[in-house]
Amino acid sequence: MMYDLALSWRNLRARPIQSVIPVIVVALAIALSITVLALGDGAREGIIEASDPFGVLVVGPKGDGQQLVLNTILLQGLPLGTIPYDIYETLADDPRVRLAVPLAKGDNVAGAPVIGTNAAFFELRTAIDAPPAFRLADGEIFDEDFEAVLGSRAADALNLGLGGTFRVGHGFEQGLEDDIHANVYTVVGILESSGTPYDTAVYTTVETVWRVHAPMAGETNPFAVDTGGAADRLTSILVQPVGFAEQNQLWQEFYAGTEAQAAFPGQELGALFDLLRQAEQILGVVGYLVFGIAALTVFLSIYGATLSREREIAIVRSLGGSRLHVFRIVIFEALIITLAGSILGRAIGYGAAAGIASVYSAQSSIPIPIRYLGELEAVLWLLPVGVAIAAGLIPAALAYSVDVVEKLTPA
Amino acid sequence: MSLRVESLSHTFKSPASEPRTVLAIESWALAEGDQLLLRGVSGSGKTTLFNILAGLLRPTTGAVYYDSRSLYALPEEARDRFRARQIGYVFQTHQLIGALTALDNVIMPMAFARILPPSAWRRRGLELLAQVGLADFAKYPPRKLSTGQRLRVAIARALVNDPRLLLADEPTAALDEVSGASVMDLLQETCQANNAILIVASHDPALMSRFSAVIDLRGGMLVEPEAVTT
Repeated sequence: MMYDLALSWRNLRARPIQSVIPVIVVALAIALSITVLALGDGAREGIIEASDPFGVLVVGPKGDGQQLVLNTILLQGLPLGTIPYDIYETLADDPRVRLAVPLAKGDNVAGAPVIGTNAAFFELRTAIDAPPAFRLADGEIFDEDFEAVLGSRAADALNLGLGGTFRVGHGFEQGLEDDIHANVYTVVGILESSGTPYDTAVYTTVETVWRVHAPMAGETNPFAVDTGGAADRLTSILVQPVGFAEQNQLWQEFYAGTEAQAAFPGQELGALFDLLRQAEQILGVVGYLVFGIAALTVFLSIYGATLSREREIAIVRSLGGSRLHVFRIVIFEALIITLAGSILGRAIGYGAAAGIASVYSAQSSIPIPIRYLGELEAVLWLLPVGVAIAAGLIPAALAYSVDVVEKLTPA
Repeated sequence: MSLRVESLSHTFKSPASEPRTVLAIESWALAEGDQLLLRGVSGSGKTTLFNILAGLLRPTTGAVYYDSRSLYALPEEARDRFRARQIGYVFQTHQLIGALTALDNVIMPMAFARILPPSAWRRRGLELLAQVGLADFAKYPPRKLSTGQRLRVAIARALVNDPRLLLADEPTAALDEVSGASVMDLLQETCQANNAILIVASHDPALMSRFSAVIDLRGGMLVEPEAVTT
């Protein structure tokens, strides 16, 4: 058996071009599958990880629940609008609520979102007995207006430390100089990395956000306040109810109301994952087609090689090699090609997935951990073996049935 | 090991032409250690006889016995193994494998015979190459060897398992007189040392003096030579 394997290897080495091309095609097929699967898995895992600390309900304006969740939790897209601050006050006092966190967005610092919130934000946890998700690495939590705490990535990106000052621009993206508000913020704290998009944010008091926007009252400003301050507004509220029943009650109350909606992040992200899964399925069909092409390429390479060396197969038989030996030699050649392609494809696939994930993570702030695919890996090892057997079977049968005497007779 | 052939015939059938009987041998036997020169013009059936004796071509009728064992009564895989272990075959066109080195070509029959362990194959292969004067050419592929060197690799390969029967088809055809004599010395001395049967098919008259037994193959039949010229 080992000798047959060694002979297959030498046969492949003797025709490098014919051997390398199918290896590359198999590698591309495997790489495509691994890139798609690893990125899909990483995106799901990253979104789950990123949404972990944010509770089970997001309250915000009526509208697209998915947009509300994506904007609130993953900082993607624009807020749906604003809701009255008194909804937060009601929720904060509600005995069915363990924790309510107000969020007011509308400004940025060189592209980093500014989030108005309060001390409750720093009480968010992935589980009741888990440590806070957003912990200070240095300094303290803001106490006065225009004091700011920076997420770890925001601190790096803005190159600011404790005591550093900055001004914020209006809107969600870095804009013109005219958009920059006059107020000066002072950095009082810097957070540890949480592995969520919130690492890119800058935190201050809700009141700071309102005060910054006060001069714009009367304009189309989401945080425009009237003189009495009764119209103070938030973009969304994170809510952690005390239990499952309370969670459903709250959801139903908001559902029946007209002022705001409550969305389940799990449900909305689940719908997003369904979309992701559909995209994976479409790419999966492409993957099968590429695998088909890979199988055909392996077949053509092995079949051509077998046809061109029938005389050598006859020599092997004349020296005592059985039909089974030559059959195995051809199958091993197909296996070596597909397994070499599999190994190369893995390197390319995981490398490409890590590269794409890194670029996308930097752009979107959503972590995309690229992990070993586990059970799927077993399938991705078995698939090339199946391709090798399917592609090698006819050439191996050809080798098996070579007429030794005819092929050894000089023409 | 002795060789015996009984009622052997072989007929080639082709849809395009009439069946053609190329071999018809009533009875023929060789004892252990016999050395025979088989003469015959091209198309006389020498190669067909060799292929039948080597277990590569099932005769249309008759049987080939090695000692008391009927070669074609064996299942094909057992016949392949028997050929690997007991028969050395030097083809007229050498039939070396181009993808392998000279040494790897010599090693191949050992891999199928499984007489020696794999760890001993390389040493034994080098030993045989040295015996045929090609110790320095072990890593050469056949395309880089001369015709005479290729023949010697083929001889080393045929001898590597110490066969009990050595078939050599026109072994001196492509060689000059000196090289031919050297090759024949090697074949005859090795077979003598191993007490193996040697059958050389050739129409080279220079070989006549080397064999005490000479037989002609004419029209597929074995006949005593009409005249021996030396």
